[in-house]
Amino acid sequence: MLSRTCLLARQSSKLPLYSLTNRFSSDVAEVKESKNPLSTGQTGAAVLGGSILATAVSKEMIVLDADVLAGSILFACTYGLGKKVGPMVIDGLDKYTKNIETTMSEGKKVQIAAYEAAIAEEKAAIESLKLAGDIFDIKRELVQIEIEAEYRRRIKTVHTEVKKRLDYQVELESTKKAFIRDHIVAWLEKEVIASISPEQEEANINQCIASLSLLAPSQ
Amino acid sequence: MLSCSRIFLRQGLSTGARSLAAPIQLTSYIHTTHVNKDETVASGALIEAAKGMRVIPTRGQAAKEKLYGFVQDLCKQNLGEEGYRYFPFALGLFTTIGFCNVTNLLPYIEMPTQIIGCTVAMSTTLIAGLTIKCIAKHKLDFASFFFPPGAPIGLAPLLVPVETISFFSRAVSLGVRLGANLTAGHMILHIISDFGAQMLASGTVGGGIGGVLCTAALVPVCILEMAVAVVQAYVFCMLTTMYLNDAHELH
Repeated sequence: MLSRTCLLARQSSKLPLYSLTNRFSSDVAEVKESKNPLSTGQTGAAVLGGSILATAVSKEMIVLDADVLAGSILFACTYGLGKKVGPMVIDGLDKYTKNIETTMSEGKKVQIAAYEAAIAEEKAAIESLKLAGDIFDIKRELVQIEIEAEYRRRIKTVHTEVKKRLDYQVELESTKKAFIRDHIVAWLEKEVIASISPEQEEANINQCIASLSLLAPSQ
Repeated sequence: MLSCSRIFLRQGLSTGARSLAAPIQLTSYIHTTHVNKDETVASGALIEAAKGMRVIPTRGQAAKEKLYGFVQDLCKQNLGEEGYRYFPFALGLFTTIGFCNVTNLLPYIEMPTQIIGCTVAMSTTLIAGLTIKCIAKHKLDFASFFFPPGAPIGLAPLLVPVETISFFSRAVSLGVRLGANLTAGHMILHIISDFGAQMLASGTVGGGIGGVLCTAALVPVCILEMAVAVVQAYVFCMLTTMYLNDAHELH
């Protein structure tokens, strides 16, 4: 006789592994889907319908005549055709619906792509506008630099011109003074020379000779 | 005196079935009618059928759209652009006759399209209306119907009576074609099923075998009758559109 532990081990080896959350529900009897139409709970509707039909036929509520035969055959044909042709028809209709959906999606996708492109363009335009601000600042600075340079160039020009004129005036004055000085010096020389008499000249020369004679023997 | 369309309506609607598209008042295009409760109910059926339509259709809606497209192609082919305004009429005609034909297959039910008198009255009224329309539009040129273009004038004494009879026999042939096909099919079905039922009820072995054979023979007949029901509706509608085009274009 196997021990309880061994029996439990055997059972647990046969049982599938359940998750912890499913443990207790799996311990209760499993409800599996039964494919047998005659199993419990499957035949209720068929039995009810069959009983009603049998009662109606036996009580001659439904008289089994030619029309009933024709109607039953018609029903069977319709059912059979539905089984055979139905899937094809359903596939055709689903394909039709899918085509419409695809076409509309295509249109939608194209529009979305167009809108996304437009959004990207707008964003790029906004970015370029930001850069444009910097460019404007740079250009403004360049212009200001150019204006400053031009100003300084003009200032230099003015300075040069003024200096030229002033130098001219200075030159003019100095030239005038040089003329005057030269004239005065020449007049003075002339007057001095004119004021020297022959006797003074001779006396001066004799003096110079005497000085030279005194100097000569010392060497 | 009720017009044929109202009998049509009463019988068709008395089965309690809702047709897909029942602009029945458009089938009374030719008749002088006023809106009565049957037509109101039929119009209501159309409005009800059109409710809940989606952009991306369900299977049911897709089937309706396929039917709509089928009749639309038929009208475009036969009527052209100018006659396309008769498309609602053609759609109503096709769906109504198709519904009646298919419902006629059920046991214990008899629809107006099986009654030759009804179908002939309907076709006669149609042809009469077309003729009136043609005369109103083309006046004396309508007479060119009875002399085919390009035929030698010497054959006129022979051709004109033949063409006249051919023209007016359309009125009868259109209705008889529909009614006779359905009647014949229903009759074959009834004969075979009666034969089979009696054989099965005889209680003999031979009777049982015969009954089974008859039951087996019923299967292709049923399938054929289903096909005939739809095809006859299509043929009626197609011929009506062709006659409409003839009335408009004069050949």
